Amino acid sequence: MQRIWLLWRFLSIVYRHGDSLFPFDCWQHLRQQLEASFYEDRFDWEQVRQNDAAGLLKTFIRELPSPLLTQRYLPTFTSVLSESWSILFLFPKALLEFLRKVVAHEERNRMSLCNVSMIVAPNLFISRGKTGRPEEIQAAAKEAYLVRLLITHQDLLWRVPCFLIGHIRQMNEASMNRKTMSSEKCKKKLLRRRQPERNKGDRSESRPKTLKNYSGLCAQLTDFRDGVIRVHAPQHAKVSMAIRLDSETKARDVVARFHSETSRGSRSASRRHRAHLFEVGGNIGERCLDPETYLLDLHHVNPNCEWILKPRTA
Amino acid sequence: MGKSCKVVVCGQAAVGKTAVLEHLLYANHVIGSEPMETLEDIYIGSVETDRGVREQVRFYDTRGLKDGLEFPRHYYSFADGFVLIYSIDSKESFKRVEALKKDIDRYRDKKEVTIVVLGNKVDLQHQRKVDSEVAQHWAKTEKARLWEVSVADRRTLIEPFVYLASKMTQPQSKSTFPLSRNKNKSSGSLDS
Repeated sequence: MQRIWLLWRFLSIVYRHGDSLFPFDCWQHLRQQLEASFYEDRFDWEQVRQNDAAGLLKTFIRELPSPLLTQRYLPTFTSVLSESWSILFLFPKALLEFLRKVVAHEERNRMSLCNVSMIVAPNLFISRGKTGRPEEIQAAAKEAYLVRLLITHQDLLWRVPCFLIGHIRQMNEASMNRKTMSSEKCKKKLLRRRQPERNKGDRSESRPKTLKNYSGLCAQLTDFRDGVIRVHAPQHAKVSMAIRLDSETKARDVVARFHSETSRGSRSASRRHRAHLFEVGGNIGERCLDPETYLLDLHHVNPNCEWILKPRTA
Repeated sequence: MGKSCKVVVCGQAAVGKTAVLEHLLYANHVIGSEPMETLEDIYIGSVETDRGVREQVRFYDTRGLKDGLEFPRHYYSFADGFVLIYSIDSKESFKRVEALKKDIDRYRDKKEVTIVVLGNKVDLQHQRKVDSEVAQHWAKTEKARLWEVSVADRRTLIEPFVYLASKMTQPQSKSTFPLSRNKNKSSGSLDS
């Protein structure tokens, strides 16, 4: 946590000063100062010049216990571009946004996209020694190219592509089919083993109980025709609501319906605890929905999921 | 989650079922707002009974009934209590309540259920179509308590629900004793 905070601090300083960045400068004593006083929060950030801050930032990234792009994925990253989707999510968003801002000021700071990626790349891919062999130079060029791509296409990086989610849904469906079959088998086995051990009274007592629970559940879930979902809101007084979807219904609308009905009385519910709509189960684990999600379409993709309204940080 | 009583709220469409519930629970209903069709919503409320204990009650707000739309059967055998709501400005909605009461008795499977009847929209006196005396008389013969209420006055809503919760959560030892149960019942209807 401290480290992330430090990174932020660096970025804000470097960005504030803006001008020509990443030159080599003497900042060793500054670094010692920082190390000595950082944890007591006595370090005076105002006195740091932008060049020093940039230098510190570079060292900071380079000397992280593990590289920013973790060691484990480094080979994948450098070798196969098309399969590197997953690791990109590990990349610090703030850094990329910052680099883009640097490049945007190219006229003033003389830092073009090429320059920036060239300078930043070695800090991200710290893996080999410096012998200057041709293959190393080649690899370095490749890395610089990758960083360039990262900077220019960063907006794409944070959006999980549809095909990936579709893939996850398929995988879950497949594994669920397998699981239900095997668990059925297990249950049968268990029952066969348990039955002789139990006495009759015990069994007759436990049977109706489960039956009753089940009927209770059924009664609650009146069977609606397609296009009606039941949204649960365990933290509201209105714990459940059946809502008919049309092709225009968005997640935002559903949240609003609960919101207007419950929190008009108590204004105290702060923004941080604002509820989001989640799709849970079915062919996905749990997913917080974007307010713009069209629910009817999602309902067709994942008909067996539950819809739950809750705060994000529960 | 502890044991909670299940109360089904039913009646003709647009008599104010959702309004009664929401105003009871949140006190935020705006009089005269456009009715929104309910499919089936569930509320959890905690009601203080006349014994001074707070009881959790699950309210099932059901879809308003219209011509040709029958009340789903599964509710009858599942609820511990019913709130039948009609609107005093609609004779038809009262007829619907009478029919519902009959059906509850027919389908409840000998289960002990508490029934409360509410005549809503009492603030619309000048449009009254259901005579108060007649309604009370009917309730007496049916051994159900009837109140005339208005969402505009939240105090009128509280008594029926306190009564309902108290009646449903009455200690078992009393109600399983046939003699004392009869006594309870008769005193209940005398009150009205």
